[in-house]
Amino acid sequence: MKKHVLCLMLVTVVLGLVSVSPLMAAGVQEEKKPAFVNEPYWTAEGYDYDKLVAAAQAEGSLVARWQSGRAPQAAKVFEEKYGIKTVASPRFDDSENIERLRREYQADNVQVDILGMDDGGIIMSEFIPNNMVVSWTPPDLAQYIDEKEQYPQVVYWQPCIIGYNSSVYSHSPIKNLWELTEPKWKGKFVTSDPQIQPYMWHFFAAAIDHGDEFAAAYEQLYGKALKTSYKNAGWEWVARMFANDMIAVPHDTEVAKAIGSPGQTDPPIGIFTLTRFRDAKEQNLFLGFDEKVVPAVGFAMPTYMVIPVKAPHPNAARLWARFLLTEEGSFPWTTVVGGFSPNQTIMASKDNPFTSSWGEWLDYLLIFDPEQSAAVRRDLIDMWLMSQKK
Amino acid sequence: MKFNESKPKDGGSMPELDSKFHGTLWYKVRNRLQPTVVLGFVLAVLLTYLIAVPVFMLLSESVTVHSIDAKYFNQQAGTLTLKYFERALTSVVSGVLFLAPLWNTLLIATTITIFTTIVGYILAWIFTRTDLRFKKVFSTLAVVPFMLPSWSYAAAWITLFKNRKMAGAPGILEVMGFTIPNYMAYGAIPIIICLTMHFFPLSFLLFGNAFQRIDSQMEESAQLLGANRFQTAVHILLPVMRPAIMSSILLTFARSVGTFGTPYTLGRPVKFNTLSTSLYFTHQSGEPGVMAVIALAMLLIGGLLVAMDVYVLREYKRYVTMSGKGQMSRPSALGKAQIPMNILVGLFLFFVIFVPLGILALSTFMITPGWFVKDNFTLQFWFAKETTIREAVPGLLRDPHLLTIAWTSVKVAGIGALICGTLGTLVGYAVVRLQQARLGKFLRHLSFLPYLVPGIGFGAAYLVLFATGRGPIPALYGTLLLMILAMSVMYLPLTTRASISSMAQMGTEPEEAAMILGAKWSTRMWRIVIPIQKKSLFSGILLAFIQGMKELSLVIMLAVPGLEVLTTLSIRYTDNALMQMSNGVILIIALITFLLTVISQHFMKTNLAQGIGG
Repeated sequence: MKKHVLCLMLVTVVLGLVSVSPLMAAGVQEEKKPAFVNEPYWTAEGYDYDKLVAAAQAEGSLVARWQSGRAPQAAKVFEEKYGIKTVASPRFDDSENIERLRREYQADNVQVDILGMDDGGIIMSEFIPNNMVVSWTPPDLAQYIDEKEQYPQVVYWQPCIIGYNSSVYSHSPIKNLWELTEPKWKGKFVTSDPQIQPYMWHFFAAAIDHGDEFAAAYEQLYGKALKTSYKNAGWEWVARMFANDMIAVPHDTEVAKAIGSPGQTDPPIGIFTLTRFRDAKEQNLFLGFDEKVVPAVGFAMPTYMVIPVKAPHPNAARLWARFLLTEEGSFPWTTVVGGFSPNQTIMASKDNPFTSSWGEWLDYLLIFDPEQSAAVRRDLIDMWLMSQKK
Repeated sequence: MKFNESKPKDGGSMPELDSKFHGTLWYKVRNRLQPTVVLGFVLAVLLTYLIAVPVFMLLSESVTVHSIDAKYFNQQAGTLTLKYFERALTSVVSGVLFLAPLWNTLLIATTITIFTTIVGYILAWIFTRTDLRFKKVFSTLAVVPFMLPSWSYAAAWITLFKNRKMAGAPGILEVMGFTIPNYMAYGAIPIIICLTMHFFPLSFLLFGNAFQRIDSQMEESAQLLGANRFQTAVHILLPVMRPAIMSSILLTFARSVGTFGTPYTLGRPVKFNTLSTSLYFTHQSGEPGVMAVIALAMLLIGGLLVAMDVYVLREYKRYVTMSGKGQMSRPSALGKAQIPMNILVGLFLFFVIFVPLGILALSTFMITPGWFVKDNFTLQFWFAKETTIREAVPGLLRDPHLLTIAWTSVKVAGIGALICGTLGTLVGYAVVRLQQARLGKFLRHLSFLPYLVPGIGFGAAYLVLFATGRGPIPALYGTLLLMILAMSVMYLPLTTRASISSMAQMGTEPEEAAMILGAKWSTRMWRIVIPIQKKSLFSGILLAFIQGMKELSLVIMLAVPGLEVLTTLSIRYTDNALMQMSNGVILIIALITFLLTVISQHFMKTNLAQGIGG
């Protein structure tokens, strides 16, 4: 009888080794230069739109995984224009997108040509250093795009702002973000749960990155300089916010509902994307914000697009990337409230509250650096987890 | 080894009556190559590749550096590390990340298991052993909770009980003027109630099946000898029901440990985390190493359960209730209790089915759920060409892809369930009949493993395992076949358990009789075993199908563009905060599952819940 058990164990071990060995192989492959050949017409020097189109059409199809539900609208127009069969899977949340790509790389079977995702931290700290993806800016459009928005390439921007209930308050109940750390707002600040929506880490990372501005805002409010045991005033603010019993909900539509629902007497404040102003009317929500809150009314939230190095249709992927940065391709995002193209020649919707000029928005929003955001992510997560203790 | 002694002494499953070769080498070889033994080995190899390897891969992730951490740890991806264990067990955040969730998980799983087992047992007893009226309707309905994705109960609960602690619109009861304390709105109590309502059908089915195979002459004999009803129940029924009770405990407990949607919805607002929610958060915030540690813990809990199961069921023979003799099942008359009992069962089913389903259905007609104003009601989520809430999103029934997606769901779950049922019956047969007890045990435990592994981890392992061709096995990633395969393995525990417990109750007598008449193994399998097991096989397949229809975490890793299923559609609506559409998809899932269940039951002339032997 013992023999059987031994046999079985042997079989298990052998099979285990057989199936795991390619994983090790994939790990080694990451070390050497990828078999990634730059086509001459992709580069700034040799760029040739017609060759790109011809190569993309020769590939014939495109698979995109996109975080937004509106990708298929663009895909339909793209397919009609270039005759390339396009599957743009909508509403791929970042964790799914990231995990899938990791596994596909591990197994050396990449099935996606381009990803639309929010988490620049992962792109900069894992995907690009490991040669899993590249960021590509269409050379002919580069002149219209700010250099800082090219690496990784932003496909569209959304302002993420701190707003209030406009039926209860005639003007913003806060003028300074430090007020939110006071007992008055304890348990009354609503945010998307950063453990569910990782893009929220960028907001806190941005606060840390702009520590000086937070120090100045502190002095402006309390009339004295901040003394902190943390690295800077940004950290201090984040720590106090976490300690002030923030309410974390799974999605920013719920933030908007919590703030703007009618019939409340003591509504909370919270942070949500400007896009929520679009649903406000149908859902009877009362939403308002004051862009003059110091040090900033929120942060600029980018969605990036990156192309896997082993994408099966690298030309079609680039053509799609370029398409989304033109008026024809960006319409699902830029013709409605809350979306802005990094291409300065594309106008945003006139219905946007405050202003439809992205340049103007940038004066009132915190900009984060994806690399810095990736670097502080772990400490932020730990600080957040500690605040979750009952 | 008492177990072995109770079996025929020579190799294989049955003594061959062919004495010509007795004692020769040929005889020995032939004995070794008994169909059952061959079957056992083939199954062992197959399951090792399909289950042990992925699980091993998943667990190895808890001790190897992931590419996301390589830079931070200053180590190359793939090197061995204990950092993930340190973080989960001894770091400053271990309490939040792992220890508190572990305690909460054990707490809710134990309570839910006790409740579901009691409810399921009582209900099964009423349905199989009494002459309750409307049995057929009731028992069909009693399975419905199982057809809903588990988070639907939580969604209904929140709509009803949400209090003002959380910002935003309160639930219906608060609007009506009640004050809902926090412990009723969120946390352990609502989670336990919701999951009990959701899981009891599983226990009910297991007990129903088992009761059907117990000859009611046993009870009658006891009563003839002067035992009262209570004594019969405790001393006669309870002991022979032990395999079913163990199955019920095992399956419910493991399910409760792994369940995610309900603790996520109801626990999160009061920071009540379980292992599954913690696993999800580590997944979302990019800590795959810690995620693997949590998965390992969940697997260990399951392992302990299995050990307990093994201990309790040391000897199958004692639970054989079906012999070669005829058997009968005579329901006892309820008499005066008939009407109250009908009302009681009816009310119970009303509360566990119609109330939550009604709340869900209602929500699909409201712009802001729970806000009862005329303008707030709408049909757009079902019928609009383009909803006003979100542009470019058509109403559910106007979505041109809905039919394709639903068909994919049915295909994947249906074919998966058939494979799962076949495989499960074979495993069940091998486990019970194999003389090589260790091989049997190996099969038994291995086939149960998928039940203990979080679906998302299993899906991830399958993606890697089948993304490239390995030897004779082709690359399957991106095909429908992989989803089907993953699903048939994921639900193998359901069909295997059902098959083991019914095989265990079936004595060797029917087969021995056939053998005396000269029937070959294949004939016996086809003409004796399968017909006797037909009903439990069918209910196993149906269970797997129902589970498959609502499976999410497994397919989310494997569904590729063009191969979406209903649950991924639902979750994509949830991600975009279109709860009405998401709930609508849940209702569609429930409707399709229910209709197909009823139709197939009619076709098979059996009833998942009650019809067996009825």
